[in-house]
Amino acid sequence: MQISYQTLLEHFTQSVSVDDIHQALNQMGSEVEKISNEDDDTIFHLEITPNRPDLLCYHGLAREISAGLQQPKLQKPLQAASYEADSDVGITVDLHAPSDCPQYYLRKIINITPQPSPDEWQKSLTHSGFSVFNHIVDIINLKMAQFGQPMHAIDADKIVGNIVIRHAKPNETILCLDGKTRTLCEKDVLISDEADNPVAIAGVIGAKFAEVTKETKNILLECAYFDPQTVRKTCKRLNIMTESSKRFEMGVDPEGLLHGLNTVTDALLNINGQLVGTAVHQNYSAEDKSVTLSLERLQLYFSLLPEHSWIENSMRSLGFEIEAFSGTQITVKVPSWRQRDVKYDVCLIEELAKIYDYNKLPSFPPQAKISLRPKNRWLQFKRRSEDFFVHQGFYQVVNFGFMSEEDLHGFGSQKTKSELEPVFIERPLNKNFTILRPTQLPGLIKNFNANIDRAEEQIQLFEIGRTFYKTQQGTIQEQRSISGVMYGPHRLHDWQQPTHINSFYDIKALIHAYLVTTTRHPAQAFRYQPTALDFYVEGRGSDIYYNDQQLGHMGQIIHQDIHKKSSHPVLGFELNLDQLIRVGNHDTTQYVAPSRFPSIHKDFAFIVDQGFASQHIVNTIREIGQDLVKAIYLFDVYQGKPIPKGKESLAYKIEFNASDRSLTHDEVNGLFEEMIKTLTKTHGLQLRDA
Amino acid sequence: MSIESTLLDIEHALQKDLETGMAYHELQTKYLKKNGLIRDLYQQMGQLDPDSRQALGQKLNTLKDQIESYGKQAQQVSGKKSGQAIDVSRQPSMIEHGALHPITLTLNEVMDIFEGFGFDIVDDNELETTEYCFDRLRIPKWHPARDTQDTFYIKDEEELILRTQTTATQLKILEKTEPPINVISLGKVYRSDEIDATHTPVFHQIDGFMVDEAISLPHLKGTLEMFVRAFIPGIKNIRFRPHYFSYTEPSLELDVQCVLCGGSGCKACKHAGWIEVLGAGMMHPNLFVDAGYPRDKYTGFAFGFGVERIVMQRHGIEDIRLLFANEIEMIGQIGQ
Repeated sequence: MQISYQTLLEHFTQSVSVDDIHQALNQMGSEVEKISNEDDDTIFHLEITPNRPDLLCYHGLAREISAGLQQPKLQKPLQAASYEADSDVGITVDLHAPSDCPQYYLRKIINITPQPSPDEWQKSLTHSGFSVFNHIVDIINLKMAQFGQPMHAIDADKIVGNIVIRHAKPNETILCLDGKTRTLCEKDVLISDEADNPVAIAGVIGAKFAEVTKETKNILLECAYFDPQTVRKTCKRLNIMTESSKRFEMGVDPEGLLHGLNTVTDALLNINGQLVGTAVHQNYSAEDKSVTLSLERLQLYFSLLPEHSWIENSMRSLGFEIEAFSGTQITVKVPSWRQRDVKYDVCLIEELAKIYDYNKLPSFPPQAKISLRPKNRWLQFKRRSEDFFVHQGFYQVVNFGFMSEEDLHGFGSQKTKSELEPVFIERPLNKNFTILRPTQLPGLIKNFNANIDRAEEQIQLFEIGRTFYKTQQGTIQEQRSISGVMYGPHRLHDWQQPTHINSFYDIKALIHAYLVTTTRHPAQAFRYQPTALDFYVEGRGSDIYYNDQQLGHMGQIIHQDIHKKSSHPVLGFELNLDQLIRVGNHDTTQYVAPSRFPSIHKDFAFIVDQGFASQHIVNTIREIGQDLVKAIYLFDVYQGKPIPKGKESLAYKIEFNASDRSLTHDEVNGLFEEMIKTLTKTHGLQLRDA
Repeated sequence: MSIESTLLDIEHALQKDLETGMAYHELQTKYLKKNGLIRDLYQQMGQLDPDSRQALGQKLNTLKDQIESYGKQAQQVSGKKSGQAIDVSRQPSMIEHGALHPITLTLNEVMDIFEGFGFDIVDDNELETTEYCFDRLRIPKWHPARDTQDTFYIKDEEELILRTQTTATQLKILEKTEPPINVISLGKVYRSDEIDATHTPVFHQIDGFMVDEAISLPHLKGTLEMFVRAFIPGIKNIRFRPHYFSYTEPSLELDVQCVLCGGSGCKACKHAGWIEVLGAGMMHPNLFVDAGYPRDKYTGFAFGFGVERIVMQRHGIEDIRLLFANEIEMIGQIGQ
């Protein structure tokens, strides 16, 4: 909202400086967002909070500023002539929507000639952010800016019969003052005449039909209280906001109508016209609302207790009447313009704190009471995961949780159906955001493509976030996931070694290390099996298990969305972090003294079909060697002469060791021979030997 | 196995051993000493015809030389004195370092500060019920915040939404915890805003609260001041301004004097001299009643802020969309 310094001064009994006003407004919570200068005036741009309709006018702001400056007499009191409230106007108001319109005044003024407003009014209006029309509309706007009550002027001669306040008919249309035709529904309240000519959308905007123009001679002045929620819903539905609707939505002062109407009448009659009378519908009865605040509570909130007189004066300066003040508690009557807002003792504490000035209250940290709280294992885990991937050269990305069904195409159908049944958004922002992501990989592929477009050669990205899916039972699940993509050379531009392009085994190495370090289980606790997911190249994707629990999957991704410019394998992975945390080992590790006895190393190589699951070899070695096998290393994989096509040679080094004795060569050779025998006999493998 | 194929295997194995940096004395044992692989072959040379013998001899000598020169190099490293000087200024093999996302950097920093104060950190679900996101926070059914225009509802679910604020977690914690409570909750929140330079439908929020007997406004001020001074180095002045939130009363906002211009006004503070950092207030007594606490036994404060705005201010980013573009260049610049 914008206000003019010069106009504001009219609401004070003496001059107040721009700086004082600026300070007081901030102190009282009407933030000054900007100050600008126009002609000889200063314009304040304010943010009025939605609980304070009473501050959408100069009079209310003057009250607030006076209270903030602790000079209650600064605000000029209200003044206006009074006119007979209920008299014959020769027109009846038929109220068919009483709960939407508890108060309605219609005043008739005749022999009025619209003319341009004096310069000073025009200036005040433009400085307050209003447009200028003719003196009738201008006066209505001026007085609304000053006292907060919206009103509407109707050309009386256009009206056929009585004024009717009713709900709109379905699809009833109205050509509004802004030139737009709007279609209403039964929830909207409409002012019309007896012939169903639309006069105004209640509290929102007038109709072209009864507009006040240069030719207007007689007018009807409408001054009402429209229900805030009704107005709000209509505005939302029609996507419209006017100076009038803004005030009705927040709730105008239910006891301020007549004053508003009278000041406008005063101003109009001062120029020209004659008052005929006023038709009234009045279903509002003022209700006293009191709030009691105990001083003990005030002292608790403030950590100090102001003087009793200060408390009383402060409450009065905001228009609260003191009903009782016992010395231990104070009871005040809430003014009509604050009744929607002030209901509890803490509301009074807030008012007093503002006048005291938040910045002048003491400031100190609370006394600590220490207590044992469980550690947030998830956050520890998350940060360990972030650090792990960053140290491996990965960049963290953050994507929205949304995607389209199309994005999911190719990712959706393969995973076990139940897990990838997507969750739909009721009213998505656009067609790209229709579902919640059941997997982070499509987002990562988009990020990958964006980075290829930026000519990045090495792209290593990871994301930790939530994924969502519907189970077969129809319940919606939210799951924590970590996913990533890896592409390009292992090391960029390294003169010490030849360029190595990351392969499946590089992402496996990474995931392997990640699983071991985060779960604290030994490497052999994890199992890798060819996956059925077909967004991985056939034969180059793996499901990852801990015992029988699937943790996730990884592999070389093949997907229609991958950038055509990518010239190396695009590797990806996704792990279920909820599952990973569950299987983690949290035992305290017991120290085992290293063996003091020497190890014996034995090597062998087998010729196998390419793609053979070498896990079998490792398993056999362990089954036979048991505890005596300390380590197994695959130290060479060889294809080419003299190995036949389609086959490869896998060379293993086995380290034998016992913790309690020196192993003999005979003992080791016995085990070694048995391993070879089992592998050749049971698995039909060919030993590579002379 | 023929001598030729044995030789091939030995060459292959030696290459691996040299690459993996096997110790010189181990190489000697494996290849050159008694029963060493190369030495064995030398001994088998006698079986060959003279031409092959010469060819094999040359090859074996080359392998032997390789091991010896490797040994000399190793000595240069481990030995005491002389050796060919190397260019220490030369670019080494680069170990790639990745980077955390700028949002994570800020989230982590805030978490660290509040953990230092003894706060618990909660990272709750993003799917939330309307009950905890709205009803319990005194946001009535008619309130604009609940409109489908502003909130993402889940299809075919009446009560399920994507949380519009991390504050939703507060009531859940209040219900199951006996004060004293001091908790930070953080994460993604969702609002149906069109995407532009300052809006995205998804952003991050940090939200904290403290409940105990006799928590006061000065406690709120003291805690926030301590936080803000730790979080934004170089702050001169802090101010508190009354504001409005439905679940706190009194409510306030905290501004800091712009660190860049010292309050005189610059681009960073939009020429206001002050930058709004967070919203806060004393928790509304009804929250405690709803949580089942005896009336007026406890008081508490709460505060919260949007993370992206702060991240943008900290790093001089003018368009929020950059934060979700996920370009390595940008993430690396800020996070490394």
